[in-house]
Formats: sequence, C-alpha cells, structure tokens
Amino acid sequence: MKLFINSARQTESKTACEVVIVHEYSAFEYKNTTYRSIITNGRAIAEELPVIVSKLLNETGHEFHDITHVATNITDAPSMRLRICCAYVSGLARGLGVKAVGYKMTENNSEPDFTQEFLPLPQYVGDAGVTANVPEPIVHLEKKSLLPEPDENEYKVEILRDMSEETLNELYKLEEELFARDKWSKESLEAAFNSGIYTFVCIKYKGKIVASSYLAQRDINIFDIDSVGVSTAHQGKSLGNMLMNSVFDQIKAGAFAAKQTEGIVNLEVRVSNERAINLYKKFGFIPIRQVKAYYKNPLEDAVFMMNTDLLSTGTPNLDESQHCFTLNNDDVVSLGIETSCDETGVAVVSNHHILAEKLATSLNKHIEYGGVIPEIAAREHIQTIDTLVQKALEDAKIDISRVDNICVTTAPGLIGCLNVGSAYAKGLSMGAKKPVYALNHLIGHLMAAELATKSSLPQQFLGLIVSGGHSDLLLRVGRTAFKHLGGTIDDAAGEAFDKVGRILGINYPAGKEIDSFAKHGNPNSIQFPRPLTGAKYDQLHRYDFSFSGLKTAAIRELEAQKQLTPNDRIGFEDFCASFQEAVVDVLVNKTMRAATEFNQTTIVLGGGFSANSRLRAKLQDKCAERGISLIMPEIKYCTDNGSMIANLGALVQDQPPNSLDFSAKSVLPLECVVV
Amino acid sequence: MTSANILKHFSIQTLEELQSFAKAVAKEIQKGDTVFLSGNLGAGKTTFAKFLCVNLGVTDQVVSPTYTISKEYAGENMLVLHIDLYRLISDKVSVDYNYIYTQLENSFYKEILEEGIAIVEWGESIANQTIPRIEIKIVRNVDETRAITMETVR
Repeated sequence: MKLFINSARQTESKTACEVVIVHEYSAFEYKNTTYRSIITNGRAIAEELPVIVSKLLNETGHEFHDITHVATNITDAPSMRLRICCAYVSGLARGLGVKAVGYKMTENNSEPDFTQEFLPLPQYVGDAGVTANVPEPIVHLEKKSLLPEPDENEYKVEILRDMSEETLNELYKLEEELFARDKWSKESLEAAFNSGIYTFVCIKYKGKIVASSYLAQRDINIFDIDSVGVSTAHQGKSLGNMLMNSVFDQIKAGAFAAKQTEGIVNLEVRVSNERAINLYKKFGFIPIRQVKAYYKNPLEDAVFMMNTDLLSTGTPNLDESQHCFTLNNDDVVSLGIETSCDETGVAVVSNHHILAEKLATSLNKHIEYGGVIPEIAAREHIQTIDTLVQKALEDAKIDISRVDNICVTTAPGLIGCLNVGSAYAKGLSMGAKKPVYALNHLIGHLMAAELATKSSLPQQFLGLIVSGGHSDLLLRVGRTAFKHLGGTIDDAAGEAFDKVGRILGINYPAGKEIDSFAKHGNPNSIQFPRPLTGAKYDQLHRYDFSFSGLKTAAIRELEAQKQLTPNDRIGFEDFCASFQEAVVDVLVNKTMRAATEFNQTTIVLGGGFSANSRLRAKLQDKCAERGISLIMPEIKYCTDNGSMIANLGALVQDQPPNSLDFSAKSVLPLECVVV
Repeated sequence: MTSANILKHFSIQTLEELQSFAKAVAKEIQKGDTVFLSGNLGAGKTTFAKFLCVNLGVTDQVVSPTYTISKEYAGENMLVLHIDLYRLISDKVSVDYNYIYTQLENSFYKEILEEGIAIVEWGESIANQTIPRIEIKIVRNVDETRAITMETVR
C-alpha cells in the first residue's frame, strides 16, 4: 500500500493538502484509491496532517507497517505547506524503514515515480536577486592595530632555571588570566620553585612566557602534573601538545636517570574542561575517578587521570574511544532534533552523555546575504535532516528501535524552520512508534550545562538565558518547573549586538567580533546608559531588560562622533568595549540581584550570547565574591545544537508525550519545558 | 489597484503622545489590514508596534520580532501578526522584492489576515506589492521628537 501526500492539490477555491492511500497508480489518475482526505486550511497542515494520516489508516483497516512507499510532490515554489509535507514524509519513511520519494508536479497532477530516489528540494530561483554587501558604518572609527597573529617559529620551550622577579610576574599573570579562582599565588609559585620538587616547563613567545606547566616529582617514579596552561591569545597553536611533550621529556629524563622503567603520572582537571581532557587522553591518560565538588568557585567535579605506561612504552596512547560512556540496557536514550534557526542539529544523548551528534549549518549562505534567510534555512533543514538522523544513529551504533523518545524543538524560533523539524519528528514518531516530545528551545539552552558536567543540574537555581532572540531570567523551582522572573521588553542582548555591529560596519553575526575588539578597548570611555536599572524601575521592571534604548544611544553616540575631527574621535575598540560593558553590566547586576533576593546558591548560564567572554568573566567574578556556584555550558554548546534538545529527554520522560497535533510556535510562555 | 491615498502628518513630543497616537490608529484598524512601519534603526517602530498591540488587546509581552522575523499574538478580537523584515533586507545592496514577499507567506500572512491584522516593520521593502495597507513612517528628529506620516493605500 502506498501513502501519497499532495501538498498542492488544486480544489475549486484554493490550494489544499490531500492525503491518499492507493494500491496502484496509473498515469494521470489515482486508481484503486481507498480513501482520500483534504486539508484546506494551510495553517492547519502541521497540526492535522499526522492526525488525518492515522485516521485514514484506521478507517481503511490498514496499519503503518502496510505502507511500502511514501510519496509527496515537489514544486519550485517556496511554500511552507510543501516543506511540512516533505519533512513529514521523510521522517515517516525513516521511521518505517521504507522508501520516500519526491516527484515533480505537473499541471496534470502526474503520478509519482516510485523508482526515483527522494528528490531534494530544488533551489529557489529568487535567490539570484539578492546581493550582499558589508554594511556601511555611520562613522569610521579608527582601529588600533590589533595584535598580529603569532609567528609559529617564535615559540621556544624553556625549563626555568632561576626565578627572577620578572619571570615570577609573567607566571603569575598567566595564572591570573587562566585560572582566576584556582590561581597560584606568587608566594606558592616561589615556594614550589625553591622546593626542588617542581620543574617549571614554559613556552616563551618573543621572550615572554605564554604557556606553562608545573611538574612535581613525588617519588623516584611518581609524578604529578600540577598545571597546564596556554594564554588565550596563543591558543589553537598546538602549544598544549608542545608543552606536554616537553613535560614528558622531563619525566623520562628524571626517571631514566634514576634507572626506572615503570612509573605513574597523575593529574586532575575540571570535568567541564573537555579540551584539556582530550589532550590528556591523547597523551595516554586514563580517567580513573571523578571527585565531587573538588573545585571551588565555581563548584565543580574533578576528573583524576593517570598515565601508567609512559615509562614502559614511551609513546602516547592515541586510542581515545576506549573510555567512552557505555550504554546500559535500562539507560534512557533520546534522539534530539533542533531546527529553530539556521542550524540543523541532531543528537543521541543518554544520561547527559552524548552518544552521537551531528550539526549542519547554513550560516555561510546567510553571511553571503547578510542575515538569516528563513527560506534558505528551511530548505537546508529539509535537505540535511534525514541524513543527519541516519548518521547520528550510525555513530551511536544503535537502531531507531533502541531510541526511547524523540525530542524536537517546537518553539520559539523561525516558524518555517521549526515546522520542518516538528513535521519530521512527527513522521519519525509515527513510523517508528516512539513517543515524541515537543520542547522549548530555551530550556534546552538552559540545561545545556548538563552536557559539560555530565550530571543533572540542581533542582533549584537561577537561570540566565541570553541570545539573539532572548534575554531572560528564570528560576528553576522543581524538576520541570520554572518560574519566569523577567526578560527583555524590547530587543534581546544579542540582537542589540548585531544591530550595533551593523552601524559599526561589522557583518552579521557581530557578537564575536565586538567581543574580540572590546578586549583591546577601555570599557569606561563612554558612559552608555544602563537601562531599567534606576530605582523607579524597582517595581515594574525589577528583573526585566531593555536594550533597544542602548542601541539608540549607540547610534546617537556615533552620530556625535561623526561631527568630530578624526583625531578627536573615540577608538573603535573603546567604543566596542564601552557598549559591551553596558550590556554585560545590566545582565550581571540584575542576575546577581535576583540571586540574592531569591536566595539562590547556583546560577546557570545558557544561550548563544553566553559565549561572550566579558559576560562569563564578570559573572564568574561576582559569583566568586558571593560564594555562588556558576555553571556555564561549554562554548560549543552555547549556540544551537541537537544535543541540548536530546538532553531534555531524560527530564521529560516521566511526562505523557505530546499528541501529534502539536504545532510550531514563534512565541510561547517561557516556563513550560514541553510545549 | 485603486489607490485613494490619504496623507496625514503628526508631530510626537513624548512617549505618552506616541501611545495615544497608537490608540487612535488601533481604533481605525480592521481585520484584514496590514500596517507598514518604516523608519531608521532607533526611530521607534517596535515601540509603536508594542503600543498598537496593547491597544488591540494583546496581553502577552510584545518584544522585537527581529530574530524570529515573525511573532503571532492573540488580541481581543483578532490575531496580530508582528513581522520584522530587517534581517531579510539589512546589508543588502539590492533585494528581490518578490522574494521578500514570499517570506510573508511563510508566516501564514494571508491566512492570518482572514482572522486578524499584520504589522510589518521595514514594510517599504515590499512596497511594490499590491497590498492594501496603512503606511506609517517615523522620523527621529535631532531633539528626540518624532515626525510621523500616515498614509492609507487601498
């Protein structure tokens, strides 16, 4: 039996969606049509399609497993109804393990060609008319020459032989930069150096220390690596590898000199520091235990790692896969689907551990056009979503039948994009007979920190979600209970960055670039307003934000700068730093205020803007001052991804799943996890 | 299209005046209407749209739709579709107007007009379309007052 969905069926008055069950096709005519049902309201397709399909099967005495082919039509028109049908068909076929086909529509409603592969949606010709340009700034502010890219040949490893005042200062500066709260004091650095136990291995760039590691010899063949750090400005240059190799050389030299052929090297690392953990694994370290709340400020577990075969083999063990999370039969496995904007994210997650994740982005296409084009994003979602699901399941080494629930982002976001993910998930859910949960994208962002800690967040915390579309404060008051304290009353923080970026001549998305320029500027050069912070807002907007006025103030400031001679104008970096400081100031102050007033001991950060370095640093400082533990997602999970949605599966698994008539929404109350 | 254009000018000194202007506009609006809002960044389009929504009985917090392009609200007697075309037109030298118009369709624009109204920020980018509309242009003066023109294009 074949299921055929025609999204562009012409009826007398309007275009409708038609669902048909057929046993045989012949040209230009549906033969043996068992039943057909028509949805005329375009808006209702997303909600009604799965319901109609079930009803049709029921009434005709068919089961889902009777379906051998699923087909839908494809036209060149950028129509939402067409995309919903394509996504649904694609998901249903994947769930049933049958073939899906798309076919070109002709005026005659020709029959689908079941010998064809499923056709991707064709490129929409209208794109040709859109050309992009770097935005013209209101006024050109002079940029200081930013630090040139470091020259790889200038890095030199050095074993410290003496500890001058200058060396000590450089080491301490690096400590301050990298390990704010865990840093070694100058006294302890000096004491360690003088103890004779420690070897200080450094990498210098043009004579200055940019990376350091302290190696302690505890016994004749027992070593501790107490710190490995690379200055932010020099990260991504494999200095970590260089440092570890030198440290290993020191260990071997020491041990072999003492005629040792076996030994142990220990170290510990914050559980969220995945980058370091991966580096250590590459160098043969095996995680041996996790110690709860080992680190303070923010409170975090430590992973203790050990390398026992360094001296016997002498070569790093490059097999990283052997100590992965292993899936038990009773572990809940969730498949997550995220399509709210320009990223198609699919992931398989169990117990906050990522078994597989796939991410495709159409961002490059959007940069070309200077912003997200929903039509392009939605089309990209359709073209990639099914492949990503297939690959994610393959990577996780599981079959769809092992998945316990399907989690899909349903709100908020670009409605055309959300619809693709939702329709696909509905199809998959029906075909594979798995419950589906329609989930809140923002709660996904908020709980993404669990992917870093690999454990559940506390049941009580204050959450700050900051992104291009949101700036919200939420209280978690129970397992799935959230209370919205306040949010932006106009523009979101990320949106203000993008818009101010535009008048500064920075391409979309501007957040990262403003952040990096701001690092070299003076945040106090312009006193931008701190909106909604005065006493008069204590009642009405106590926990609300407003960034629209700040955007206007930035425009006004640039217009004023334009009147000055170029020499009198403020520097570009100073402008960026001052603007960023105003946004971050308000976010941090209101967050800390809410934490105090609601007696919260934990703050959780989430959303794309939580990658902003100033926001992270300032929150860290304030939290440390007040003894509040701050939990932040890894930078890569700040932006949209499938893992954060799949991660919610564990949270909602006890709740009844959604019925299949749910629909995507551009807005929703923030407090619900399941939409 | 028969265009009986009526042009009106308003000078707005304060936020309260903008609020009462929005109230007056809300009274004139009927189901099926589209309101185009134009003006530079910071002119006050979203602020005006918020006031308009409140006067149409929207109780949800109305925030900038820039990021999601469209947001849908329930007013007292009608749906309100708040669209912002900014992300579709910013930074572009030339734009295919018909293409932008298709984006309205993606927000179920036509279907919503049967049950309500649409407010379109940066609506001038689809001005070539034969959409019956109320065009509201906001200009920010140096002294922070606003000059508003309102034109009905039927």
